[in-house]
Amino acid sequence: MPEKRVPSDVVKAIFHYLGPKQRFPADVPKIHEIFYSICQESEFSSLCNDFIFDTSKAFPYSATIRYALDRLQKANLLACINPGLDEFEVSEELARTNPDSDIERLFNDEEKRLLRKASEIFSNQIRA
Amino acid sequence: MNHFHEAKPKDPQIQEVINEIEKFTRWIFQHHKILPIRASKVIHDSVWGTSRFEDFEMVFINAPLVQRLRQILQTGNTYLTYPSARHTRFEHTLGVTAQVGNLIQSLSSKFEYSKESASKKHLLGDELLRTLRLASILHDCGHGPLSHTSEEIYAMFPEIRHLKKFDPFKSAGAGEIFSYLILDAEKFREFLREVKEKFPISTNDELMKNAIVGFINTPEDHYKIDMLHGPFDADKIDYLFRDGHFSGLPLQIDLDRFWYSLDINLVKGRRRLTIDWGGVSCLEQLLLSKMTLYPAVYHHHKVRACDCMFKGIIEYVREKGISFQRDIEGEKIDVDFSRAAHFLYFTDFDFYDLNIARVDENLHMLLHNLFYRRLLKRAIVIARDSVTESSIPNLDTYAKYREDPIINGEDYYRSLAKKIWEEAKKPSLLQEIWVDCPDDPDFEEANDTWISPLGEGLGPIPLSVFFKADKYADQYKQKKWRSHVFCRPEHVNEVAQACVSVFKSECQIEFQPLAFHLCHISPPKNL
Repeated sequence: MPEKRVPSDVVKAIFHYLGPKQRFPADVPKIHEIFYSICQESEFSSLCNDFIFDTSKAFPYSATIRYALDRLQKANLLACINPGLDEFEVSEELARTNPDSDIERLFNDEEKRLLRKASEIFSNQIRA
Repeated sequence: MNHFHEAKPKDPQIQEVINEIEKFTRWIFQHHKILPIRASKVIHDSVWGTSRFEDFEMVFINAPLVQRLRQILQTGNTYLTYPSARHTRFEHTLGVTAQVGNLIQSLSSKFEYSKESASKKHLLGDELLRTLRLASILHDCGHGPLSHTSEEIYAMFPEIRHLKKFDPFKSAGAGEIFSYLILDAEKFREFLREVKEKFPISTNDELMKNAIVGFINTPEDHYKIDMLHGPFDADKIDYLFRDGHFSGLPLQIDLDRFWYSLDINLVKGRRRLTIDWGGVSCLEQLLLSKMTLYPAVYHHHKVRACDCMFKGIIEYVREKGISFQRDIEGEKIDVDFSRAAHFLYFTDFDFYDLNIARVDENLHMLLHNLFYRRLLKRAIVIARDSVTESSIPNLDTYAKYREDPIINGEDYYRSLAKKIWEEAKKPSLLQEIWVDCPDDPDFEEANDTWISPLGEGLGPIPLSVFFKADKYADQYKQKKWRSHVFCRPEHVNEVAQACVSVFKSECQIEFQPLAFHLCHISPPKNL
């Protein structure tokens, strides 16, 4: 079957570049806020074209982030860590660099460079 | 250019939808005249008891735009699983109106009798009460046949996906977008003007529309939207009680305590509806009720099978180019479900009436099977516990197309169903084989619910400090979410076998015997 990139693939790729077993706070409103700030940067506009943020809410909300968290948790690629359930952990499977992976297929080299950079920004801001 | 009002002059796609809604609104109002109303009315409801509706409210309730909701079941095909779930959008509409009234009255009493809250009295008032009650009466007027069952289809239409790029629709459901556009249509505004001439009422019409789609125009007004479209709004209170009651799943929510616990406070610079510390358990009850209703009712596999049968009928009608005429002030228009707005011309009654016309034998059979409950059955369950350990990561790719299923003009899940149908040697109509990958339930409110400050100088506290409802919801999504392949009962074995091959080759997903045991069938030989 043909394959295509959906907006939440960008979120998946950013989490992928965080690295294996990397943990970050499971603060969902903050995750939406950080992705919103990343998407506001013109540098990342090509990656964020299809993200729609509702900025009228208490925090800038995008259904794309929700889709990403849902699909990644469902597939055990991102897990909420017991006992506190306060942190997400990137699974080794999600972080694995594999020439056949969907991230390799769906993004070109320039996009992957941007995704790595966005991943660094995400990592710094989520812990700030 | 973020608001659709700014975009519409230069956007033909938006203009086309607006024209279609204008047409529908003319159609629904074409024979309507406002009849004299002598006084307010008392209406009895099996869930909430007796409620009073003002005279001007009765004018809206009596309009065909709201009366058609008597013919649209609140929970769609659920009655084929829970026989008493025959309640309609109309009853729900009255219930939401009564509850938003109760919500505002409770806050008014609190601000009246409590010294520390007296300064908040100005936040309420008659205009807000009237506006939100009217918004409640009209909030579901954009629903099509079988409520969310048809909404799931037209929400994917390009014109709706396009509208969702603009304020105030970015977080709205497709039916809510239609309700907003109907209230924005010239014919409706004319009707509203006429009512306001007869009744000296003051309403905030912009707030009324924004409350329906959940758009917050200013942070100062956030609490007003919260009342109809917030973490614990009147809509949610009514549908949880009503759906639970009529499905036979009585849910325990201490609503009396809940009303006393409501408050309005500043949260991060926004005026929000909050709940006192003593009302936290009521909030937990609300969230747990929603979590109970999802697997038991909304995502019950038989309910999903019925929804797929409905989709099959619409797909068949569209594929065969079958159309139905509607007469708008002498102008005939063809309704063929090729546009999202076409669904507005149908109620459940109209949908089942298609069977009487007998325009096509296959269509007759598809309708007959749904109407007389000859339901599709499960051939396989796709879930974390039914696939092999090594296949679990591949559920990601399988589920990702929920966000945007169209690839090269084809729906991903329909393409998958077609492959299964071909692999099983086309045992039935294609419209009788469905890969159903439901959206996860939405528990976003768990991330945005606030507890009133515990004392002077202290700020509001997020609900998650007391109860990690959002994480409970995550667990629910991971453990209870199930996807299915449905087919005619006489074909489950060959379809199950075809599923094993197709899911392995197309999705790299392999199954455990449980995938079939859950469907009460033996695992196929090729497992």
